[in-house]
Amino acid sequence: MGFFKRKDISSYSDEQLMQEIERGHSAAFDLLYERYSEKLYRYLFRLLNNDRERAEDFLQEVFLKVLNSADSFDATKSVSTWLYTIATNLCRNEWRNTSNRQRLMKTFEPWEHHSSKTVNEKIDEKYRNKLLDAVMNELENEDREILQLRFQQEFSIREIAAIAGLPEGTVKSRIFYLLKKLAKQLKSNSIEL
Amino acid sequence: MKNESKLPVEIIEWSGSKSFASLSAEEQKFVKKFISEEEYNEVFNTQKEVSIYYNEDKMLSPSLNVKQKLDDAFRKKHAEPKSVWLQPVALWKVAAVFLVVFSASCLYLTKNAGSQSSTSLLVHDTIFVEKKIEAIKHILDTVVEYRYAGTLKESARKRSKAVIEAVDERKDTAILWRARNENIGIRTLQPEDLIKALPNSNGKSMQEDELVKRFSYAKI
Repeated sequence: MGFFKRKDISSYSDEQLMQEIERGHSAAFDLLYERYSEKLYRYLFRLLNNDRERAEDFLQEVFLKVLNSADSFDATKSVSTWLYTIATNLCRNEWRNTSNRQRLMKTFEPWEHHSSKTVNEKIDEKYRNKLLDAVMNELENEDREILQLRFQQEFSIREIAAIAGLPEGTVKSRIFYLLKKLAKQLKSNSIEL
Repeated sequence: MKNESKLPVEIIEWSGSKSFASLSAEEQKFVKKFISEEEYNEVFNTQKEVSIYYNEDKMLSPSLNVKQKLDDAFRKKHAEPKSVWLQPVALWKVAAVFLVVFSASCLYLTKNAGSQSSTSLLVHDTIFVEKKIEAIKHILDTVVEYRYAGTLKESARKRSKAVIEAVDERKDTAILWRARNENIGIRTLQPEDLIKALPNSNGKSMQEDELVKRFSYAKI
């Protein structure tokens, strides 16, 4: 029965989904959105200093690019790397705009989420997040980009190098350097807070 | 940090999952070639902190508006009908098509059961072949007139000879025979005419003559 029904694309790779999108298969587009929208949104949200609205706009931009450039997508390359490269470039363009950057810096608000943790846990978490938010906010955008790709999106060094357009050795040493820097800042800021 | 620029990727990987204490003796020895134990643990703890920090983001998700707008854009872009192979097909439709094709095949086979042994098909056709043949046509456009006016014997002899020569050269010659005491007219030269024309004709030898025979076929 299933044979006569709509193609079962759930097991398709991202690259196969791209081919289906190009053919106008809406279910393929839905599936690709389902696979990446949340992760990309989180990535954009953090890179854009926790600006939800802007992150949604950028997420839409990324998928519009997918829609309009599906025919020119190189099937031999990774879709995830391609998506994150688009998202990263959008953010970099945004950062280049100084006025926007200043606006973002002013409107930066630590993000508070709702969870089912105890009051003490929440206080600890809030404290730790505030601390990290503050420290992260002091980092260069490009540094946050690499940290997010590594620890938020859990990409390999090779993938990060492809997305950021850097040599693998540079990515590797920069991550280590950033972690050391963060450790130092967390130490000093924890006393202030 | 002793040798940061040449930091092996293994150390970054280990510092994301294992504290210095949980490393094997060999691994610890290897790490110490590049960084101190304290530096390693700082990085290890910070990685854990950062991972937890970003892990909280898993609560985040975009609003439904984004998808709705993208769906609109998708519909706009692919407004044309989808490929027939991507359309869902109901089983009953497939079954109906199969039944029609199967029934038609059965009907055809039943009707043609008697002539099943005949596998060849006779085709009658007309082929027009244009062939050039040599037409035999006698056009009689020359009339030879013989008039016997003078000494019959001498002139007749000459004329007869001329007739024979003429007939020999031109097979399509009619004879206008005119002799003394005879009506003027045009007619087919008969062998007897020649015999008659020949002086001192004592027999019918000319009747067997090939030229005379050929001559007799001429028509006016």
